[in-house]
Amino acid sequence: MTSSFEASAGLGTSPATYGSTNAFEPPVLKVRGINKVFSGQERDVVALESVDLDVAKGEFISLVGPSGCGKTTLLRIIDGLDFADSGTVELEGKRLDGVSQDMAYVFQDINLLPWRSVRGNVEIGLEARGVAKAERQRIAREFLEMVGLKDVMDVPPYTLSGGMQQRVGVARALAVRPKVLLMDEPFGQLDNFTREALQAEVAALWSQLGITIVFVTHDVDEAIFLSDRIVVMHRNPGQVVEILDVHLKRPRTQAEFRAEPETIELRSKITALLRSQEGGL
Amino acid sequence: MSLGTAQVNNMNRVKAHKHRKARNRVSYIVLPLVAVVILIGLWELVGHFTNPLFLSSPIAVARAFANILTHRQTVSSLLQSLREMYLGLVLGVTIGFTIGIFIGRFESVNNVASPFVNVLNATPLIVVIPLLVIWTGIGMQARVVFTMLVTTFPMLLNTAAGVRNVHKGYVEVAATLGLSERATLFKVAIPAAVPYVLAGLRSSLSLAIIGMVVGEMEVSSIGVGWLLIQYGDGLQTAFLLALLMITSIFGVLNVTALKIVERTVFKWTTSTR
Repeated sequence: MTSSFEASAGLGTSPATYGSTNAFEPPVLKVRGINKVFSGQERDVVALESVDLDVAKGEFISLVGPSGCGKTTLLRIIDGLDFADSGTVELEGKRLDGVSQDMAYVFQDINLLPWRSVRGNVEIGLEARGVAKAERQRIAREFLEMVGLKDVMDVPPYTLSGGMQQRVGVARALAVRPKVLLMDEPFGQLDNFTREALQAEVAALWSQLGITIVFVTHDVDEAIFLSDRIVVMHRNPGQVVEILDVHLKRPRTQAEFRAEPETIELRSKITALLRSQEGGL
Repeated sequence: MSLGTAQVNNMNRVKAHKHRKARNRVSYIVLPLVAVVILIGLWELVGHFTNPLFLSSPIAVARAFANILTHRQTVSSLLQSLREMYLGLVLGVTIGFTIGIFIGRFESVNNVASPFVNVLNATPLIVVIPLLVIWTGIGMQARVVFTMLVTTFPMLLNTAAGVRNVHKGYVEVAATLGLSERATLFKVAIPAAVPYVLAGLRSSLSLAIIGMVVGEMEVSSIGVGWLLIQYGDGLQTAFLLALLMITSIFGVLNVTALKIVERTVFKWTTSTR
């Protein structure tokens, strides 16, 4: 099994990839030796075991794995929503303790506040940062426009479809101008067409804004379509199995990328890696 | 054409909607009205064959109703009752809401307060009336304080439960976006508790009427409760029934006002999920 330390080595192997940076720049996000055990009544679940990960500035990296492999737990620990039993997370060389103002999180179940308008939901992170009202409104409008929702700014969020609600979720996270955007299976509850549309939009936003994205999914094609690198994870103990580079040129389109030889190769490789774990229930 | 089909679908939906609306009107307004008319008819009929001491006829009750609403003494009694009720209610609900937030938010406050709250909540509050009379006299204060005590607890318990049971996802949104504890309380926990608070308010509203009437029956020479005692002693059945209707109207008005507030100010509580 490949050691997760190759994660950092893997960085240099894709210098030509659009959106990723050169190997000499230090990683924006540095995860070291993360351990996390959930104690159950019958047995303990090793959610994460000595997980290391480097994420380059401007990179789009996906974590894939079977449910229970700890990919969401890892994302939550990076954000500070959960605490690791041991290990460290560094953002731009600074060790994090708790939630960082420089990262934002997109939840699978979105959790828009129903008593606030769409715009109010996007503004709430800016309120926490003490941004003045007029400026808040301007920023919220800017990001809602970016996700194509400027016409529904003043409606309550529960009147929107699931796809539109997650667009608000993305706008809410982007509005605080995070250096790293963490996305936890954000499109898991959406129908196929909406999911594909949102994938393309997120890819476009990522290249437009030049931010770093860590994306959790169990959808292999989604990971290939979006990512510069794909981290394949293992379940109980939750470990990094392998990190694969995606060289497909950008911008990628939903119609074309599926038939690319590289996609087919990656898909079968990842699927094989995931399938080999099935015995390990 | 997909557009064409969509339009037709839409038109069908509008038609179906109108149809449903018409049917709703029948089942919500016409049917209950018919039921009320039949009931009053039966009442009148039964009244003819019964001793009016037990059951006055609707006409006699209507006359008593008009009588109560046209005499200065009785009207001022009703107004005094309303004044006491709303004063006690506002005090009780405010105190209950405030303490409820602290109990729901701070574990330590909850640990200290919960024995007192539980004991007081389990106590039938009517037993404190003699004490209230000793402490505050037999004036309006005793009745207001009684109504206040009665309405405090449902508000307190519901608010505390609401603040304590805020949906975990909302709290995580606040955490990841960097809201301070204070901002999380005011911008997330308290708004999220609104459905619980409204439920508490609903209980407090109905208890306020009971508190008012009981308080007046025990300590008063004015108000609905006092009138009840007078009419009861005088075996004036028609007046008692008319008074019953008046207190029902108070209750209905309170609940309706609350519903309007729910549907306008807190629309999201009725239309989410």
